[in-house]
Amino acid sequence: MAALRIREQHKDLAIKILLAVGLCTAFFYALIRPVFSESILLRQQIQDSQAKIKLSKDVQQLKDELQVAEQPFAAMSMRSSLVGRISDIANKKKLDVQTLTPKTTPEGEYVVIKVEISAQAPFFSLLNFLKDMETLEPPFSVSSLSLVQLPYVRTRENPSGKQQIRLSMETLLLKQARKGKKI
Amino acid sequence: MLKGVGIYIGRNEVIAVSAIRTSSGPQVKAFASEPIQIEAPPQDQDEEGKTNSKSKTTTPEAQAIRRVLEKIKEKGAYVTAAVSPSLVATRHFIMPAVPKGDEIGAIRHEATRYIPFRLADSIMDYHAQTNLKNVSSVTVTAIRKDVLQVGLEDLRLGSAKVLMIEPVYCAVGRAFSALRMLASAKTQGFVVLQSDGNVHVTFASGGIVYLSRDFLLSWNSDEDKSRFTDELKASIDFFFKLTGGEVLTQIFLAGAGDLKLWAEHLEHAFNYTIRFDCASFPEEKKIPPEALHSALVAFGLALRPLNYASPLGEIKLLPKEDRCAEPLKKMTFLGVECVAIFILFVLVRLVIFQPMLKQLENENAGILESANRDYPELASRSIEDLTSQSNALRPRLERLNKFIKYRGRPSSVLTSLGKGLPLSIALESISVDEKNAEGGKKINIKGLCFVGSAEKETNVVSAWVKALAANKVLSALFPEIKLDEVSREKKQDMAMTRFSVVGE
Repeated sequence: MAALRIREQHKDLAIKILLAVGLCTAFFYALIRPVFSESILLRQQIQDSQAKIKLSKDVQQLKDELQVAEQPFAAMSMRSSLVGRISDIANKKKLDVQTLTPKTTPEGEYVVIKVEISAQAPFFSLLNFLKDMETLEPPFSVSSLSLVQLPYVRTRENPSGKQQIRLSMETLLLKQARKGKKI
Repeated sequence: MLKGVGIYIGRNEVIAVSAIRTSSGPQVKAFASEPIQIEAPPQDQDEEGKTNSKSKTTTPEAQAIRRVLEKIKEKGAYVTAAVSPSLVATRHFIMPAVPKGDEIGAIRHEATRYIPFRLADSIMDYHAQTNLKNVSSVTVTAIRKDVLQVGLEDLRLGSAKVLMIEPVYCAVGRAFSALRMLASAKTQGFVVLQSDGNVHVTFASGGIVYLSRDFLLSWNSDEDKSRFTDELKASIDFFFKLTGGEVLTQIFLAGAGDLKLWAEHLEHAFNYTIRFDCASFPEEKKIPPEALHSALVAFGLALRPLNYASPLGEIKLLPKEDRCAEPLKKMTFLGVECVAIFILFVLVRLVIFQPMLKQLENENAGILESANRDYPELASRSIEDLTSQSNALRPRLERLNKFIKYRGRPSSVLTSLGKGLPLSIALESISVDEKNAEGGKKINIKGLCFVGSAEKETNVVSAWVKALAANKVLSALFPEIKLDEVSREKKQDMAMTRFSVVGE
């Protein structure tokens, strides 16, 4: 087998090629490769900026919607006056209120106030009371309503008799009053 | 400072010279000679084994080269070398001038007639001059490849890096030229006496070597004198014929032996028509002239990398692929290569990638700039912060929307129930409760119906329930309203129908 002869020219060529390859590798890692990571970083920054803008828009929209949605609701500090107003409306609509029990339960940023009313009243008084409650601000939701016809006693004021009424209403109160909202 | 190393490999000795170039001319930095010692036969088997294994890696010539380089402290140096002129064939011939492109082929073809060995097995170079008569005067020098290979391997084994191998006459001509001893005379003669008795004669005219031959001395003083004179006379006559009447007036002597004695003898023998001169080294006062004369060939070889040109042409006997690149040239090339690659990468970075990065930076800056106008706090807030704020706001809004959506209007339910109520039906109780957490409601109505006939009462109740189910307000809140229970009951001797209606 003929021995492989490495000539000087081949050695020189090999040195030149190895140096070129080494330099290319070194310069690639020193000058070009950082560009890729920098480019990825910049693209990520652009994506982050776009995401932040989208999120900012979402947050702003949510804030606006929330402001509108919270507008009719009262603050926690209005709780007692609210119960008083319900009592006033009931008296005004001739509901013979036997009990009026408010109960508060915290729920996140809000407090749910549940007002349970036990009363006796003619059907139309109840109807008027409910109509007034529906227009009341803050809005109330009637979670349960029960009417039971009381033993029929015809009177002049109430020719159709009275109903035993159990009414459960609730609304949300803001834990903190909003700026500009009058209590 | 530029430095050159020359090695002459003779038959019985190796001479090395390192020379430097100064403003006053070339100077010998160091020189040494070493005999080529043929080793004694081995004493026993063990020694034989060792010698055989050693001879595979080195030769007496290689050992002498190594020693001589160590002596001049140039181990591993880049060298220019020459082998004994008896191993090299130099011939002169004339031929019609041919175009430059065809010159190599034509000379090679013509040289086959003169060179005493096959050119296919040889390395050949030439020096040609075209005169006014469109005739080329060509000197061809060739060496057998196997001889060259042996010399090359010896040099490499002796730690030398070979820049070039050239014939002795080139080195001798370069040495005398560098020492400014060659006058403007058209003809020159060079005689090199070697320690092995070989005498190398070179006669040139106008830079073309017309004659380059060797003869041997027998080391018998009287016999050698007449032989030297006869051989030289024959050579001068041959040169006279070849050149068409050109006369040698000066011959330079170099090499081993008492050159002054030879010069006196030859001048006397030629009746003082030819001047015989030895090399003169005005800068080398400390080195004996005899030593310098013997090292003249190696000195001439050492001058080649110092860019001293030979007046007899630059004959190259080492193929290009076997030549070591000169260190300075090699380093220059590598330096240029480094700079070129660096510039290329810098350009690629600046021309291709930097604008891309700049574009991305501008894009990001543009996005942020326009967004900062609408959302000034954007820059100071992170995605996580915004996401958590969004996540906090969304359930609040959903809670409020759900409250509003399922709030309902109980007054309209009661109104709807009351509006279509037949007179024969009396409601005992109505209850509206929450059915599930999603805000669904359930209604339960209990009542009595009295008409007088069970069938009629049932029909009245059924019709009323149907009317309730068809009512838009009620059906929106309670999609399914049905009669849950119907029974007959007697109350104060009156039979009536009791019923229960469920809507959900």
